[in-house]
Amino acid sequence: MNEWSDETIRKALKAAFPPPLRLEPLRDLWPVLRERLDAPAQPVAWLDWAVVAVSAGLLLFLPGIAPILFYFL
Amino acid sequence: MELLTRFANGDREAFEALFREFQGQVYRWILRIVRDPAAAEDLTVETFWRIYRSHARFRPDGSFGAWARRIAINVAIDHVKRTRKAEPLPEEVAQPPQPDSAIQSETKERLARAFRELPARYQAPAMLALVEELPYVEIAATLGISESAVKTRIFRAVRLLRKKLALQGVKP
Repeated sequence: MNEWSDETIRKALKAAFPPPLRLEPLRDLWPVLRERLDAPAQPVAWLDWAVVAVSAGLLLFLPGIAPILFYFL
Repeated sequence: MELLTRFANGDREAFEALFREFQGQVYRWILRIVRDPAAAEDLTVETFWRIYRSHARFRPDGSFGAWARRIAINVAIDHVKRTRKAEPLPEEVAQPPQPDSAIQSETKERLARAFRELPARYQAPAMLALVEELPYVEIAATLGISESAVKTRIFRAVRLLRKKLALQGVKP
């Protein structure tokens, strides 16, 4: 068998990605989440505003790149 | 007041109760895509953080589980986009190789690496369909796309994978 048929690929992928060993988190995630919820909101960084500005400019002048831009954002 | 209504109103205790009820499901959905338990834990926290931030948009007459699943899958796909082409899978994620496996170990590694190089929008449906063997209709509902879009993405994923394997000279 020298070709990757659909069935060969399916079988090989199942072998390459076996079922995970554990299906539950190892630790209680609530304390981590609670800490994050209680953290003060971070101000938006200047770099984020710069990305928004550049993206808006690109969309305005080159609307054809919208799909590429949305994919990467 | 009903739990979901309280959550929609921003009640933290209601949210914790929902977290306790659904964290296992959310973790497993994410794990199905990212195949990395440590990352799946972090992404579970990220998912519930996003869920809480969006509590006002949740409709209490809807299904919390379906809503959480949609957000979890989006978080997992974002992770795949960020980590695509990065590192091989961590060792703890996989069960030891079966001695009677017909697929050689090196082939599996190269196949897994090639699969991880696929665009995230193809990886997620392909993983859920080909590895997890979920029905197309369920994948479509989970990803928020049509069933035909699921089929198209899986078809393209397999085609791309086949092309990558041929270029690398990887034989079954």
